[in-house]
Amino acid sequence: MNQLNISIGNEIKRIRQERNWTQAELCQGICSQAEISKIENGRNSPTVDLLQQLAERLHTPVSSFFINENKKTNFRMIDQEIIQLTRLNRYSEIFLQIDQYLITETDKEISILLRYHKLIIEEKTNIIDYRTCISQLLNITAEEKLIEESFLLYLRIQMSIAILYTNYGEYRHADSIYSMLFKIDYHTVEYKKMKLKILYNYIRNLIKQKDFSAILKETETAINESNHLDDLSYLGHFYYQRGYALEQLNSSLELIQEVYTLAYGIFLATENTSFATILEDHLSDVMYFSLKSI
Amino acid sequence: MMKSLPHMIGNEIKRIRKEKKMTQKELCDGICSQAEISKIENGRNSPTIDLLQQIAKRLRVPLSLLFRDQLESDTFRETDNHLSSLFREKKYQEMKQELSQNDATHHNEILLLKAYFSILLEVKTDKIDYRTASTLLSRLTDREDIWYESPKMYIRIKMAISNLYAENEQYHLAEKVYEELEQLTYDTEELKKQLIKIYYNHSQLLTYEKKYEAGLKITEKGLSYSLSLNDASFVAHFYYQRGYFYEVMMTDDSSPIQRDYTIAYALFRAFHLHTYEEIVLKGKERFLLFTF
Repeated sequence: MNQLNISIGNEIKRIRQERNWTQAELCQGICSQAEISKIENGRNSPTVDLLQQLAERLHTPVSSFFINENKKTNFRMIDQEIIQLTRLNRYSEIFLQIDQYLITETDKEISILLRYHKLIIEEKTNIIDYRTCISQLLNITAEEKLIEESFLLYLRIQMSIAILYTNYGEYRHADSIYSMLFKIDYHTVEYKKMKLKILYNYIRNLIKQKDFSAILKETETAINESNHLDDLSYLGHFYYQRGYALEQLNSSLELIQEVYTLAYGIFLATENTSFATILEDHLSDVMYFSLKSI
Repeated sequence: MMKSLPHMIGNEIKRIRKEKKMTQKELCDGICSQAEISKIENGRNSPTIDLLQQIAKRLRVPLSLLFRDQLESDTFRETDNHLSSLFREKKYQEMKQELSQNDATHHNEILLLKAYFSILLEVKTDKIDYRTASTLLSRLTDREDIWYESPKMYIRIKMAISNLYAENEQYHLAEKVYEELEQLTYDTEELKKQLIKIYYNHSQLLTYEKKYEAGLKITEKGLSYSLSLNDASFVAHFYYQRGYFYEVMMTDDSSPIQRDYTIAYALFRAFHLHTYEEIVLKGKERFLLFTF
C-alpha cells in the first residue's frame, strides 16, 4: 500500500470525524460508501476530481488532505531526541536508541534519518573515519533517490557531508557541494529556511578559507533573506560572521562595532546565552554596549 | 463556480516546470508519456494522486504545493491591498463603488473579504452603529466551518469586532474576543504566526486600558512563543512593549527597562525597520545603553 494514500485517507477520516459526520453523509452524491471506506483506509488512490468534491463538502482546502501531522510530529520527535542526546555526548545511549527504533520503524524517511544520525555519531566517536562516513552518506543520498523522496533530508545529508569536509580541511570539496546545493530552487518557506542553514555553514567554510570579501557578500544576502522570512534562527550568526569579516578586512571601527552590537542584541533577544557570553568576554571592546558591565 | 482543480494543478505544474527550465520530456521521463503530461498541464486530464506524487517529486516540491491556487491567492491579496488602502486613506466613496461592483468572483474568501469591508465602511460612515456592526461581523464568523475554510479571515474579523468594542469603551467585551481567540488551536506555521499577532494586539489593548500587569503577562507569552518559533515578526515590538510596562510600573531598578528598550532598538536596526528604530530613539533615548 502506498503511504500517501494511507495518510490522505487518515486525514479525510480525521476531518470527517471532527465534523461528526458519517461516511454516508460525506459521500452522498459523490461516490459510493464502499469507495469512501476504501479511500479512508488507504486501499484506493482517489482521483483529483474526487478529492476536490470531498474537500468542498468538508469545507476545507484540498491541500489539508496532504498534511500528515502524525508523521511529521513523530519525525520531529525522534530527530530532537537524538540531537539532544548528541549535545549531551551520550553516545552509547544514542546507538542503543537508534538500533531500537530501526527494528520497529516502518517509515522510510524516519529510517533514513536514523541511519544518517548513526553515521554522523560513528564518525564523531572514531568508529569510522570521515572518508568512510562521507561515502556512506553519499550512498544514502544516491541509492534511495532521496532528492525526490525527501528533499529536506537530502539537503541535510549533503550539508553534513560538506561540514565534514570543512572540519577536515578539505574546503574545496565542501565548496563544490555548496555550489551544487545553491543551484537547486527552494520553493517553500520551509525549504527557504533550510537554505539559510546551508548558507550559514557555507560562510563558515569561507571563513576557514579567509575569503572575507565573499563573506561580506554572502552575509548581506543571508541577512536580507532572514529578514524577508522573518526568521531569527541564524540572523545573529550572520551578523557575527559579518563582523568577523569586517574586522579581518580592517574596516572602520564604527562599522565593526555596529555589526557586532547587532549580533549581540539578537543573541540577547533570542536568549542564546552561550553566544552572548562569548561576545561579552571577547569582543566587548568592539561593541557599543555589554550587559556584563552594568 | 471554481475553476476546475485539474486545470489549476496543470497550470501549477507548468509554471514550476518552466521556472526550473525543464522540458516536458525531462519531467515525465519514466513516469508517464509526454502526451499524458501535456494533457495534464492543459487541465484536460484529471491525474491520479499516485501520478501527481511522482510529478511533484520530480519537480522537488511538496505535493500540497500543486494544490495551492496561485491565481486565487494573488487575487485575494490584490483585492485586500486595494480595499485596505482605500479604507486607510478614508476614500469611502470610491470604496463604496468598488464594493458594489458585482465582479466575476465567486471565490468564498474574496466574497468574505468584501462583506467584511462593507460592514467596516458602513460603521465608519455612520450608516450603522457599532453594535449592529459587531453583530453583522459576528454573523460572518458564525457561518459554519469558516474557521476551517479561512482561519485568517476568521481571526481578522474577530479582531475587528474587538476594535469596535474598544473604540466604544466596551473593554471587557474587547478583551473577551482575544481571550477566546487565544483558546483556539493553531497547528500550521501560518496560523502560529497569526497567534503571535493576536498576542501583540491583545497586549496593546491592555496597554491602552493601563492594565499593565495583565499586559506584561500577554507580552511575555507572545515573546516566548515567538522565540520558540524563531519568528521575528513581532519580537522587537514585544521587547519594546515589555520595556514600556517596566517603565510605567515604576520599578526601582531601571536596568530591565534599559535592557529591553536597548534590545528593541538593536533589533529594529538588525531587521532594517528604520522607522521603528527612529521611534525608539526619539521616545526612549534616555534609557538606551548606546545609540548608533
